[in-house]
Amino acid sequence: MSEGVVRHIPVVNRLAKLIHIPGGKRLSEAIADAQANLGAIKPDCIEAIDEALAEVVLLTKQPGGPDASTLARLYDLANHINGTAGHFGLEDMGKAAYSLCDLIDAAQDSGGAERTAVMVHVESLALLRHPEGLGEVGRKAVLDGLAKVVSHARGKRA
Amino acid sequence: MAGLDLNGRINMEKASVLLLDPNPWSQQITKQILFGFGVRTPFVCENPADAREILEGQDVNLLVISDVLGETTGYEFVSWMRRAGIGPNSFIPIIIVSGHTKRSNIHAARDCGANFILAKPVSVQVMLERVLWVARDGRTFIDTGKYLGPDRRFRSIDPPDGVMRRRDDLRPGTAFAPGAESLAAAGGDQ
Repeated sequence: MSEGVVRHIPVVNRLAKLIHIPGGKRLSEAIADAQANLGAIKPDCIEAIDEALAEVVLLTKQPGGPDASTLARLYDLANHINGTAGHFGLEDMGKAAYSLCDLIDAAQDSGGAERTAVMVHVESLALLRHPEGLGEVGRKAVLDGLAKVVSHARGKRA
Repeated sequence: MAGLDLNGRINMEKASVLLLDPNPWSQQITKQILFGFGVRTPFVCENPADAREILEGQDVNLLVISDVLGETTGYEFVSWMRRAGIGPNSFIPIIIVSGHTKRSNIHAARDCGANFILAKPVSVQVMLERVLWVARDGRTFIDTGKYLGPDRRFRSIDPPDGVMRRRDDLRPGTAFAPGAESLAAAGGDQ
C-alpha cells in the first residue's frame, strides 16, 4: 500500500449480536460464577506460585551475580507470579514480582543486574507470600522500598 | 464497578472464543473466567500454530491472547492475523492479556491492531467490562500501511471508564504499571 494512503475497512462485529441473544445470564451472576470458578482452582494456583517462588530462591542462591540466562528465567518466573498472585489475595506479592520484572528488564539493557537489588526483591517476594504478618503499613513499606531500588538501578544506567 | 449494570445480561453461549496462552496457569485462570461468563466451548491453544489452524478453518468471534507466546509474542501474532486474509476472522475483536511489558515491546503493543490490552492480573469485573466493550466496539478498521486495526481515534465509541486516551495511554511507567488495569489500543495520531 502506498505510503500516506489510508484505507478504511467497515467491519461487522459478530460478537455484538451473539451476546444479545435472549438467554444467557445476569452480569452479577457471570461475575459470581467466574469468581467461584477461580476459587476452585485457587489451591493449585497457590501451589504453582510457591513452586515458582522456590525456583526463584534457588536461582538466586547461585554464587556470583545472575547471568543472562538466569535473569531470563527469573523474569519469566516473576512475570508468572505477577499474573497469578493478584487473583488469590496476594496482590502485593504480584506487585513485587512486577517490580522484579522491571528491574530485570532495565538490567538486560545494560548487560547485568546488581545481585543485591535482585536479592532484595526475592526476599520481599518471600515476605509478601504471607502478607498477614506484615500489616498494611509494612506491606506498603516493602513495596516503596522496591520502587526505590528499581529507581536507583534505572538512575545508575541512565 | 463503575459503568457495569449488574442487572444487564450477557449471552456467551453461542460465542466462539479462541484463547491462546502457553502458560498453563494463566490459561486456566482466563478459561475459568470465560466459563463463568457462559462461554461453552472455547478453543484453547498453547501455541500459535494451533491457533492459526483454528482461525483458518473455524468462525471465531473473540480472541483472548497472551502477550507472551514463547518464541514469538502476542503482538506479532495479532499483526499477522490482521493481515492474514482469513476472512472475517482477521477483523474479530482481540483482547491481549499482558504481564510485564518489556520496554522493547511497547511500540509493538501499541501498533499491533488489538482492540484492547489488559494488564495482569485481570480481575473478573475488568475482564467482563472489556468483553462487553469490545462487543460494542463498532469502530471502522483502518489500514495505513504500517497499522491495520481498529481506528484508534475513538470517534464512534468512547474508551471504557477509567481508561486514559491517546498518547497518555502509552506512557511507559503509567499505563503499563501494576495497578493500571488496562491500556486501550489507542496510540497517537494515525
